[in-house]
Amino acid sequence: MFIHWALKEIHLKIVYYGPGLCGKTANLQYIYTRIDPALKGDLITLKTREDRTIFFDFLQLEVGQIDEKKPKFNLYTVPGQINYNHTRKVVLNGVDGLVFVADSQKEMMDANLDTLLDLEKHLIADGKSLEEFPWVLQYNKRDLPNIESIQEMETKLNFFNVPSFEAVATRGTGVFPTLKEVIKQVVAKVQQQIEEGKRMRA
Amino acid sequence: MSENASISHTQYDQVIACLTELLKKLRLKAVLVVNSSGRIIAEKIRQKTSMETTTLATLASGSYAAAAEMARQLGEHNHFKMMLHEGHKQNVFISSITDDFFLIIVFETDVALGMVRLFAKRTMVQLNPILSEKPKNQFAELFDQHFQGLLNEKLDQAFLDE
Ligand SMILES: Nc1nc2c(ncn2[C@@H]2O[C@H](COP(=O)(O)OP(=O)(O)OP(=O)(O)O)[C@@H](O)[C@H]2O)c(=O)[nH]1
Ligand SMILES: [Mg+2]
Repeated sequence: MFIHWALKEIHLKIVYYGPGLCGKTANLQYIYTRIDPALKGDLITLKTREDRTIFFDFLQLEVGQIDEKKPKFNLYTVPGQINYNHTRKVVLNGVDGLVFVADSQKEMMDANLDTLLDLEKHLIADGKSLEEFPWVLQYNKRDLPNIESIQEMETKLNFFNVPSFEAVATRGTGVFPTLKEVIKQVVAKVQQQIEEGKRMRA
Repeated sequence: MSENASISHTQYDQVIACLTELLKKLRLKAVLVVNSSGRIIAEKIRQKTSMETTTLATLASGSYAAAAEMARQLGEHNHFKMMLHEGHKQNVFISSITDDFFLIIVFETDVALGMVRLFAKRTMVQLNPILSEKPKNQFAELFDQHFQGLLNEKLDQAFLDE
């Protein structure tokens, strides 16, 4: 979180994380096409010639003023390919909330879990943990034939019982519900920290 | 970036004053102070660039973070001090002020780089103590109880046809 008191801006950073080709960039692309143009900035995509994310995608989403404050959500994706581990670490810096995009195809289950554990490793190194952190799960590519059941995916990936959503990111199914929920989690976390701060001072 | 960082009114006014002074000395297109996550602290634009400044700041912070990580991997302890992107018509100069903030200057190629570096250095010396100060948090007044509800309404309005 970053607060600019003079401009009354509250910046919150949300990162889409998940294995290669699971549909992280597709989420941001859909959001970009469906947001009121007055409320969004450019969509930045740093990618290879094959359309794989090489560094990050970025989209800033505003919602206007609330109580004279301007919340701004800075959405990022990481590159999912294995060799970009250090890049993922760089993108995660200062993260406030996470969307873990899982690929529903049966053959991707190991990659989903490995990537989730890799995420936990990065968080731990930064003094955070999936158990405490605001995050949600998205089961993407539900339109494909050879997919794992939701129940099975919940068992395999959702060990902390976070909110989860089925999605077809390319069509936009489930994309906004996922985003709204992660934003809700992030704001709730900040509110909780404020309450704790008040109690400490009292 | 340090957790829950913020910039106070006073810091903002002081930073703006420094940038205004720099713009008086040199014919620059734009000058920005940005934090390590790419969020703009202050900006002074003389001549609109074709790029949105939010985009510029995000990309600059990306280059900066990548270069810093490269330096760390190479075992360089003091990570690099400045970066220059040279274009045909304009250059972008990026330089670190503190660990958490850097300066971005956009200028046309007919302005001497040496001059830019000299004045940028002075500005950075002024900015360093201002930005090294950590403002006392006043988070208590940040969100109140009905914020979440209002935010939800706003989000629904922002998403077209949902
Ligand atoms: N059928 C189907 N295809 C999808 C879905 N979501 C994404 N795709 C496709 O999967 C491919 C990869 O999607 P991306 O969004 O680029 O994946 P990514 O997670 O950003 O991949 P990296 O950048 O390499 O980490 C693209 O061809 C998308 O069109 C989905 O829900 N259903
Ligand atoms: Mg991608």
